[in-house]
Amino acid sequence: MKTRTRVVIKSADRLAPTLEKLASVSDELKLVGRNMEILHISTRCYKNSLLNKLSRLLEAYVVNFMEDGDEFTVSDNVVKHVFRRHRDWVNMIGLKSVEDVRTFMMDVLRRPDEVYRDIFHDNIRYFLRRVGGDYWLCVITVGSEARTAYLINRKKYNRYRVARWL
Amino acid sequence: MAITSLLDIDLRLLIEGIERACRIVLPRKVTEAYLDPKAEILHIRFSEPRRMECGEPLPLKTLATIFRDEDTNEITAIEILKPEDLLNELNPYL
Repeated sequence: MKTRTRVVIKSADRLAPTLEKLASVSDELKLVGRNMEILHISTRCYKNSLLNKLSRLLEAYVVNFMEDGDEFTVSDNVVKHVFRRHRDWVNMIGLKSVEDVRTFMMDVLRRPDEVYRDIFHDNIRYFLRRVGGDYWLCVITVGSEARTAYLINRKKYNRYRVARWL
Repeated sequence: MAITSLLDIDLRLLIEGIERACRIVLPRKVTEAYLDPKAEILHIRFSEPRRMECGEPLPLKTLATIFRDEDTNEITAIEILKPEDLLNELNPYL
């Protein structure tokens, strides 16, 4: 028996591009206004599986965004660590100083392209910004504090997606 | 016990434990070890990348990332978030 389930997404304005992206990569999902529709669900088992999948995707995309007004911190030690030991992306982007690195990391945290939660640790999140070609800058946070930032490529992105990211 | 100093860590034992737990071979030449006890980051560098290096997760519950040189695929560094948790996780392998 085919049924349809409608999931109402809050804050759709802010998340509209992400939801559109989700809908565009799956025939099972359709964005109708502010609602995400799941199509062609034939069995309870399949429905539950799809709902779980959707809830995980939405959790990654929706819950992981900080609420307006919340702020991340990038400590002096962390930004110096990144500046010294992950110099490749710093040079790649053309940043010149520790302060430039802090500003860029904060910008990724405020306006990430993608955000994922760690599969094992609720308070660890991965904020991604595409930085050219098949490379992403990955800023890792624990709670509201950034801890490190480094590059990942397409292959590693896929590996993280399977092994580490919710 | 919280790790507050590099002296609290036996790097050789840690590297060997990671190798056994993850079935990988890590370099033995360590050029730098950095610990930030407040941010709970342990960074062990084996070599500098020629151009750039990319991180990949190790199959552990603790977030441990190895870095490989994009040109040579050699392991250049390992970075561990919450090294204390890693030591506990690796306990059976140490």
